[in-house]
Formats: sequence, C-alpha cells, structure tokens
Amino acid sequence: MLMNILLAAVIILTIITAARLLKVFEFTSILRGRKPYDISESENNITALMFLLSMVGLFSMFIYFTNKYYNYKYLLPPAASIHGKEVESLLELNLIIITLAFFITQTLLLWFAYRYRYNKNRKAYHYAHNNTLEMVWTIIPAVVLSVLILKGLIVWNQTTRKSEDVDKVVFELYARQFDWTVRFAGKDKLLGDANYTMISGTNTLGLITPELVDEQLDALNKEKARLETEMNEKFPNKEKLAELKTAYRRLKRQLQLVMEFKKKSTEQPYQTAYDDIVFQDTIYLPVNKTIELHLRSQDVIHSAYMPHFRVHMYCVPGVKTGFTFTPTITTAEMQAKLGNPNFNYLLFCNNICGSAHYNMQLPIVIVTEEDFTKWLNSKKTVGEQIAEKQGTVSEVPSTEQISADSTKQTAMKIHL
Amino acid sequence: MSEIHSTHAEAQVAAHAHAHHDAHGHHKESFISKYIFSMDHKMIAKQFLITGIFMGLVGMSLSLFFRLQLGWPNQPMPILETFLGKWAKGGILDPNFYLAAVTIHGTILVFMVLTAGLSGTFSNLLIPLQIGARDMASPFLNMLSYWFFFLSSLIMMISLFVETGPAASGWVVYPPLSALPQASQGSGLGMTLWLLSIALFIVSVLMGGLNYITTVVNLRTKGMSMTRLPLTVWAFLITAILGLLSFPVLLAAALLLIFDRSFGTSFYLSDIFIGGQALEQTGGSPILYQHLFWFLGHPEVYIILVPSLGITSEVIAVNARKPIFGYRAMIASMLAIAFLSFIVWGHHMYITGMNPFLGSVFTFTTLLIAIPSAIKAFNYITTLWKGNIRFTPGMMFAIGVVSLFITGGLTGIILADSALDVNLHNTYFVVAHFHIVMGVASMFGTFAGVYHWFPKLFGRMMNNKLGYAHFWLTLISAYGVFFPMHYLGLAGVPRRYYNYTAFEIFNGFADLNTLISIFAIIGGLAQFIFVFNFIYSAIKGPKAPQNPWNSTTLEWTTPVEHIHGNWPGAIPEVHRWPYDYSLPDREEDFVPQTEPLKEEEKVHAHH
Repeated sequence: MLMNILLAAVIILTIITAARLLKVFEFTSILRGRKPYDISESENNITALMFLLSMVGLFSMFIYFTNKYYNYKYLLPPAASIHGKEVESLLELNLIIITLAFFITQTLLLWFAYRYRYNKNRKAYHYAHNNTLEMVWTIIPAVVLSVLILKGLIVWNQTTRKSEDVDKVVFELYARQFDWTVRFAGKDKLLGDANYTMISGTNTLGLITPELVDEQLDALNKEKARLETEMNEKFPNKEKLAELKTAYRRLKRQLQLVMEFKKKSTEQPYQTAYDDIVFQDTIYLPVNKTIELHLRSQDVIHSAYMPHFRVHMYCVPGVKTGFTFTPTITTAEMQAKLGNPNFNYLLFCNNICGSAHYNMQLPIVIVTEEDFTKWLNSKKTVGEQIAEKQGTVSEVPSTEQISADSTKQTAMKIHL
Repeated sequence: MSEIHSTHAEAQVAAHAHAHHDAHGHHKESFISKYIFSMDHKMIAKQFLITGIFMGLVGMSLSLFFRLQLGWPNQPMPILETFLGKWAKGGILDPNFYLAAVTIHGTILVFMVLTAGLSGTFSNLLIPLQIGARDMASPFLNMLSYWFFFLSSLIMMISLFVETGPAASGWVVYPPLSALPQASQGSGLGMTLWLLSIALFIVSVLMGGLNYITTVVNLRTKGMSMTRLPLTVWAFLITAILGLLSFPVLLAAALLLIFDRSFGTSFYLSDIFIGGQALEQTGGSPILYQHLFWFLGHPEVYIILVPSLGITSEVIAVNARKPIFGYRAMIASMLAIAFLSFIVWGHHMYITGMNPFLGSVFTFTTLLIAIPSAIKAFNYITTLWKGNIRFTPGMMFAIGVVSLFITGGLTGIILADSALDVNLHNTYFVVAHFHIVMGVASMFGTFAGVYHWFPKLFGRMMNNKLGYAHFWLTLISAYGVFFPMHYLGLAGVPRRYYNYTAFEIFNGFADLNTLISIFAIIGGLAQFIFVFNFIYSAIKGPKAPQNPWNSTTLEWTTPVEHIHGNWPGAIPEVHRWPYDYSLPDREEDFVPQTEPLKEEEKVHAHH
C-alpha cells in the first residue's frame, strides 16, 4: 500500500515538474524573441536528417531481419506437397516484387523528405498535376498486378482442383474443443455416415451403423429415465430445474432423430463405416499419393492447419469442408534434409476456438506406401471394435463401459 | 443549380443562427448545454476525441498485458495481478483472459478509437469549418451520435468487469464460439454486453454519417463547389457513405446472433454437440455470419483508413507548401477504393470452404485495389518533390502515414492472393499486415490531425519538442513491433495463441517475441508523452495565432476563440481551390480560398 502511494506521488511529481519545465522553456524562447511553437531552420534540418537516417534504419532493419530469419532454420522447410511447391514459388515472386516496390517508394519518400526540407531562400514548385506521370503509375502497377493475378489464379486452380485419382487415400479430421480425431475411410474409400446426434462417449465421431444406433438408443433412453426421475424429485433450485428441462427437451429431440436412423439403418450409407479406422494420436500418411482430406467439427469453428504442406481449411460445424493434396517428402527424408532428427510435420488449430486453442496439435508422419499399409493393417477397424464390444456388452453395463473409455472426456460431462 | 441550392441553405442556416443568437442573447449557456449535451460541432469533436483517447489508452493497455504474456511466457508478472486481479493470479495471465484481452483490444481499437475517435473527431471539427457552414445539418442528431457512442463505450468498459469476463472470441466474434457460453466463458454476459455495445455504436455511426453527408452536400458556402473541397472533406464524405452502407449489415449480423444466443433460432448454428448435449439448432450456417460480418468488416478497414489519408493529403500539402499532386486523381482513387471495398469481403474467407471459383473472383477484385492505392502513394511522394518542407509534428506523422501505408499495403498484395492466403491465413503475417496498414497508419493519421488542428480544437499550440519525441519513439516502436511479425507469419506462427511453448518448431522465435514485446512497451510508454502534451497544451499551451500554418482553407479564417456559428460576420465566400500554395507569380506562398481570382488567373485556372 505504502509503495503504491509512493509510486503515485512520484508520478504526480514527475508530471508537475515536466509541466513547470515546459513553462520555463516557453518563457526562455519568448525572451529570445521567438514564439515557443516556431520551428527554427536548424531544428527543421535536424528533423530532415532524422528522416534520412530513418530510411537507413528502415532498410537496415529489413536486411537484418531477412538475413537472420529468412532461411530454413526459422522459416517453414521447403513445401512438402505438389501444390505447395507452386505456392512457394508464387510467394517468392510476390516477395521479390513487393520488396522492390518497398525499396523504391520508401527511398523516394524519405529522400524527398530530406532533400526538400525548408529553406527560406527557396520557394516550393507549384506543380498540381501531370497526366502522363499519373498514367505511368497507373499502368505500371496494373501490368505487374495482371501478371500476379494470372499466376495466382493458375496456382489457386491447381490447389483446389478436385482429384480424379481413384487410387487416393481418403481420411477425415474431426475437430472439437480441444483435440483432433482422425478416421481413414478403409478399403471402400468411403467414409461411413456420421451425425452429431449419434455422438457418445465411445462413439466420439457420431458414426452410424445399426449396432451403434441401437447402443445410442439404449443410452439415450437410460439418460431420459434418469432425467425424468431427477426432475420429479423436489428441486428448490430453479436454475437447476431449468437446466434439466432444457437437457430433457434436447434429449427427446435427439431420440427422435436417432429413431430415424434406426428406421433406415439397413441402407447402404450406414454400412460403410465398418471398415473405417479411427484413432487419436499420430496421423500417418503415405508419400506421393493423392490425399483427400475431409473436415468436420463438433462444436465451434476450428481450422486444420498443416503449414508444411501448405494445407489449411476451416472445420465448420454443420458444414463439410475438405482439401486435396499430395505429400512429396517423407518425414525421414525431411529429417535428413534439415539435419534435424526431431523434425515432425504438424497439424494444429488455426482459428480461435476457446481457452485451450493454443494447444490443439497432432504430429503427422509421412511414410512410404508399404509402411503406411502395414501400419493401417495393424489398426482395428470400427467393425472389429464393434464386434469385440458386442462380445462383452452383456457382461459390462454400458454406462460404466463408457465412463471407463472416456476418461479423456470428463470435460464433456456426459451422464450416459 | 447546386450553387443556388447552397446559397439558399446558407441563408437558412444564417437566419437560424441569428434567431438562435437573439433567443439566447441575454443569458449565458449553462455548463450542461455547453460542455455536456452540447450541440456545437466543435465541442462534440472534442468529446469524441477525448473519449477516443481514453478508450485508446484502455485498448493499448490490454495489448501490453498480452504482449507481456507473449514476450515472457509463463513468467510471473506482478504488475498483471495489480491491474487484472483474479485474471492474473500470481502474475500469470489466465488463458481465457488472454483471449478476452485480444478481443477487446481489437474491438476498442477498430470501433471506438479508429472509427469514432478518428471520424467522429475530424468529421465533426472540419466538415463545417472547411466547407463554410455554421454547424452540422442536424446539431441535435450530432449530439445524439456522441452520446450513443459514449453509452457504447461505457458498456464495453463494463463488460471488462463482469464475473465471467468480457467477450473472448476474437474481435470478429465468429459463432458458434461467440454464441455458446458452453464453448467459452466470455460468450456469456460478456458477449451480451459486447453485442449491445456494438448495436449502440452502429446507431451512433449512422446518425453521425447521415449528418456528415447531408452537411457536405447541402451546406457548402457560396463558391465551394465539390472540386474546391479540401481532400479531408472528400475523405470524410466517402467514409460516411461507406459507413452508412455497411454498418447496417453488421447490425443485422449482430441481431441474428442475438436471436441465436437468446431465442433459440438457428441462423448461424447447426448440428452442434457441446457440453454433453446435442443442441436443437439445425440448418443454420456459421459461414453466413462471416459473409455478413465481412461485408461490413472490409469497408470498415477503409472507414478507418480513408479519413487518415484525407488528413495526410491536407497536412502534407500545407507543410510542403505545394498543391497536393493530382487532386482529381486523389478523389477518383478514394472513390475507386471505396467502391471496390464492397466487393472484396470474401478475401477474409478463402479457406472457409467457400467455392474456389468465388475465391478467384475475390482475388481479382482485391488485387485491383492495389492500383488506386499505388496512385495515392505516388501522388503523396510527388507532392513532397520540390516542396519546401516544414517538419511540424503533424507533418512528420503524415509522412509516417505514407511510409506505413506503403509497407503495410504491399503485403496486402500477398494476402489478397487466395493461393498464398491458404498458408498465411490467421498467421502473424496477417497481424503484421493489418496493424501496419490500417492500425498504425490510421493512428498516425489521427495524430497528424490532432497536432495539425490542435489550434482549432483548443485555441492553443502543442509543444513541438514533445511532439518530436512522441513521433520518433512511436515510429521506431511501430516498425519494431510489427515488422518482425512478417517473419513469424512466414514461418506459420498462428495468431491468438496464448503461448508457443508446446511447439518445438517455433522455439527459435522466443527471442523475437521478447523483442517485439519490448518495442511494444516502449511504444506504449511513448503515448504518455502525447497524453501529457495534449492535456498540458490544452490548458496551458501558448495561445495560437489565427492561421499558424499559413493554410489556405476556411477553418483558419474563423476566430481562435470558439464561437457558436463559427464566423462572427457573414460566412466567407470561396473563390478558388484549397491548394494554391507557392503560386509562381505571388510574393506570399499561399493564397486563401477566400481571395477572389485575379483576371489573369481566370484564364489559366485549371480548377
């Protein structure tokens, strides 16, 4: 407390002193026969010189930072995808052009500021306009921009072109606060249908298969019964009751929607999830294969950013988005290239999504096609997992099973 | 026709002012009607400016708080706890409050400071004074405009103190994050207050804008044709039109968001599973919000920038003692930028899953903006050429605007390109780009305006020496903060991250982040030089002469002491354009707009 008062006193005294000093300064300049706000020619010359120095400073800063940071030690390593290479060379072209423009215009601006500083023997040159000059600096930027627009659109078309490749790898990234889930489409190259009403502690992606629909109906009905008993108990807390009512209303609607899936669960789209493979740790992808990435989100907008491949796309709840690319360098090759055995490709969220937005990442490992197939075969498919669980389901009540499986999701407060 | 119109309007206003004068002739204005609920445009300008400066200091402090976190991650900073209390227990900033600080910093700076503080101040001060009008077309609406702004700022300030914290979903407040309290604690009461504040803000902007447009169109003095308007007035006019056309769209966006939050509609929400529950909302699209938001959001960038460019044109011409080069080209390029700003909003959304063809269209239209921008930059530079430059603090800041406008504008060429935006979207490259071209450049324009028109605002002069110190420290720290961010962005460092300690690939940038924070602190402290100079000079500064900069425009023909109605006698008549500086056949280096053309000038006059 005493410190704070002292600090405040010091600040107030400083301000008063500064104000007094200014007054003194003003009086002395009046005594010298000048107005306190007049700018003398020598003062003006110093400022002009400072502008010249600021030009030197600006360019030195540019050179220092570019020299230090514009290299593979700091920047992203060379693009590791086919379209990424094009993007990289387009970026370089753009950077060269804007650097040139930066140097030319800043030199002119700051040099003129210095060169044409006030001189009482000189009069400014009344020069209001010149059509030729203005045409020049309309046409030159227009021509340069045409080139940039054209090149840009060509690269953009390459980047966003839909692949006709039948031998592609289809996988899905599913985002939620604050992690990623990965799903490969399996042998049929079709991602099984999913819906947010099907999400549960075990079925985090909301996949739809006849078994999962039954399981979900079962869980929802149990939850419904639980809510009903809880609501029928006496609740002095109005807020709590309102919360329960909302939850109950939502649950009933969810039940209805899941019932719809029940009716249609023998249809083809609900059979394709069996060979899908779901996991949450590292993303493995094969090199030199077309990768068709599908994106979904469970709660808010996230963004799947894989800067090494120049891949970036929003994950939007209720909307399906995607990106197609072809990795060209395996992780091992890149590690050798950079001389950094710890190097890893990364996926991270790049659209503000809540408090832990800053830590929503997943490593990506690019391997050869054989290694990829080997790795994929070692993983259990959704169908296999269902079958396994069906075997145990009679012994273990589903509520406990789910809570055991979903220690990761305590934050989701699921009471199934 | 238009001349008849304007003389008529002028007569009306003069008559009104006269009647007004008679009615109040016997008693002094009360304190409340003079200083608080004032309808005088000069007083309202000061109210906007002072509120803007206060909000600016709040927004800046928030940025310093999160720069402390970014510069020295996870190191206890007792000063944070002093200011933020429970949001920085033990001096460690709370991750939720980090996002809230980022959000409110952006909101305050974009809306409260660079829209209201800039346009509100200088449109109010300069439009009537420079076109020769006794006041705004509707002084009452003008007063309301300020008080709605005040209320909006007040509510934004209150939101900083609510228990769950202020809005924390970025200044763009994208739903569903901003719509669901389950997704972010800032999306509770804090977000409600944010929306309320912005709704009131939009009302303020619309009332102000209507007034500025009506005043410029109807109340110009005799002889003040559109091509004799100073470029400041052109800039304010264009800004007001932009605001009038785009802010209502933000109101619509905000309103739908309010519905989604409070009344269970699903404009922006669909298929969401959160907090263990499947929400009812279905069929909406979060992307719809982004379209609506950026339909304002992009013109907003120019609502912020154009007034600064207008101020820069005027200040550079006056202090280089030269006519602004290419007056008509300057107007045309401002109009072109304003028009284009309405058809480029999609460049904020290249990677939202929008159809790639739309991306191509937006790339094309966005890159077109570079052409009028280049014209403006070259015209400023040519105005300096063979000038006779006086470096007043205002002039220094104006040159700063041009330098920053170029530096920040050039990186826009990269971000406009959809193919390049993919990898730079939401990285520090974007932060660097828009802070330099729109944030700092407009802030410099505001400072240029304050230093240049301070004599008109307070009848006193600001201290030059303090002005120099303020300028150099601000310029150095602005470049020091934002220039290195380009390299962070090129390396893929994402924005709005609480820290980067979990990312080995960004470890190399720890030093750079510390350096940026040091520059930010220097820049922040430098602003107190300005605040001190401002307050000191307003109260104790040396009395200003009537026309301290030897300027040609009408505002310098009014008396130094403010009077209601601006001119004691008749409104001056205008005979020439505002840029007759250093005419070759004249002794003095400026000819006021009020001086009639000589016979030989009439023949040669190109304006």
